[in-house]
Amino acid sequence: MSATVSNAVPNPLLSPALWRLELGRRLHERKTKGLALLYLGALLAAPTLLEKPPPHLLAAVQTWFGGDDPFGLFMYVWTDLAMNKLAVLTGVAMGAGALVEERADRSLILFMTKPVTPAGLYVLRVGSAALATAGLYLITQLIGLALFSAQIDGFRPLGFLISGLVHVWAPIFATCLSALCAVAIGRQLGAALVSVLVLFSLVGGAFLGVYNPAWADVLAFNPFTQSVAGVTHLQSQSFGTLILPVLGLIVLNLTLLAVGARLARRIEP
Amino acid sequence: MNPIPWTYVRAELSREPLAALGLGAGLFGAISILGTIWAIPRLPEGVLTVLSLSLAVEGLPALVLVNTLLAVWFVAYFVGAVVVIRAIPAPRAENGLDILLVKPVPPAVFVWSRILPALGLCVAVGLALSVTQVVGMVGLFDAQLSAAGALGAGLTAVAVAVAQLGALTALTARTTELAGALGVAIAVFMAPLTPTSVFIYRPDLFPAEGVGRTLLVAPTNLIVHSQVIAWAWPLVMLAGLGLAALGLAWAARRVVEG
Repeated sequence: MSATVSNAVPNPLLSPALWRLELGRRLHERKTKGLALLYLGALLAAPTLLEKPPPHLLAAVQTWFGGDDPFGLFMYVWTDLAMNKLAVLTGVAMGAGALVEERADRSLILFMTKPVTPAGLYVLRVGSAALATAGLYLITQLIGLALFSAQIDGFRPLGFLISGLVHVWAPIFATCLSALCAVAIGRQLGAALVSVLVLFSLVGGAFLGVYNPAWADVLAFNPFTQSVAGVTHLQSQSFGTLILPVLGLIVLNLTLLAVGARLARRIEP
Repeated sequence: MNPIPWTYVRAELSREPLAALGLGAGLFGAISILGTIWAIPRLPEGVLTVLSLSLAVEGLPALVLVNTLLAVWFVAYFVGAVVVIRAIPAPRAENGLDILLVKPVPPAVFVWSRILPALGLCVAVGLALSVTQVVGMVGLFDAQLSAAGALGAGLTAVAVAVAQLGALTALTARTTELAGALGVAIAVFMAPLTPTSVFIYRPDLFPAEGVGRTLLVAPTNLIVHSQVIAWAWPLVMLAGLGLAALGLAWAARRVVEG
């Protein structure tokens, strides 16, 4: 009589196997491969693009970021022209389908008959998207580290690596925001469009406070401005200058994830 | 030749909430344009010099216009691109296109009646934003850059956007994923801007002087040649519509997979 049968199902979200399978599916999707090609293109194009920088650009970048070597220009172009734009594209491609894609291909109804809540499914999908995003970005940085060390004169591997570890939170932010838009708006195309508009506006202003220091305080709210702290503090990269931007971005991304998970229940299968 | 099914065409033309889309995009564009016109003259002198050298335009009005033109182009193209994607790739991604294509409607009529609203919306929003940009810049114009030149440059950008929408229709006529269609839409928009980003960092790859120097650098080329564009833009618009028509004809041949 004392034997009580537990019918509680262990939370499937805590299973490492599930996350492995989910991430594997992400990495085999066509859009992940397309993004990987774009990152590869950035790696190959950067040295050619920066081979003979015009003197006015070199001088400007040196007044903005300090230092008298061309490395500042390299970091500025790599971060703003290549990785910031790729951050937006990656975020929209990875995030804007959250749950609404599953609804469109009718698989959401199937998921909802399994022991997982909409919020749990959202965390799984967006979590794996953020992991894949970070993976794409960090692998690119590592290849870049090897490639640029050989190709770029005056390349500073440590500065490059540290800047990347701060900036990787930008594509993750783009992913979390796009996913939030998806469940808030409820349509994949509408979410993608709103995300593209908002993210490109924010990315366009990433360095605005550097161009015009009078606006820097007002523009500090911009997550992309925080994410390029490794470039704006290129000459003074330290734990002190970079920890607050990174912490701020982590808290912001967790908040976006939590709000999205809360809204996920509104998506009708 | 079958008669054109006008009832069907009318139903297709009124399918999308064009007024709401146009109003939303127009508002977003107008705010961006007026914000740009406010902000650019307030940038420090050094930044303006770098911008001017990087984009090969001279004078404050030209510097403002090079930025607002991008906004006109971007918004006019993407508001049309949304309608294009909702017209063919989106229903195909949701397996809903087959039932549309088995109706006794010729593919050309299907494509035209679904895409014409996109082109119309692009032109309407583009026209409104081109006028907004000219009105916002009143007082900035000088001998080098006239209001007629700025209006013509805006409408030329819209003509290019219309041609790009024709290309987008053709290129996505068989796309089966929404994300893929979006990727193509972004790529089609970026393609004419690629020489610009090369020019900013490697001006040595372009001819040292003459018409050829900035011919491929959009939208600088529209400003450098604004005196011609001030009267020639209707021709560019006709050419843009012609190219779009070619794209739609190609799309009509591709949309039914046989």
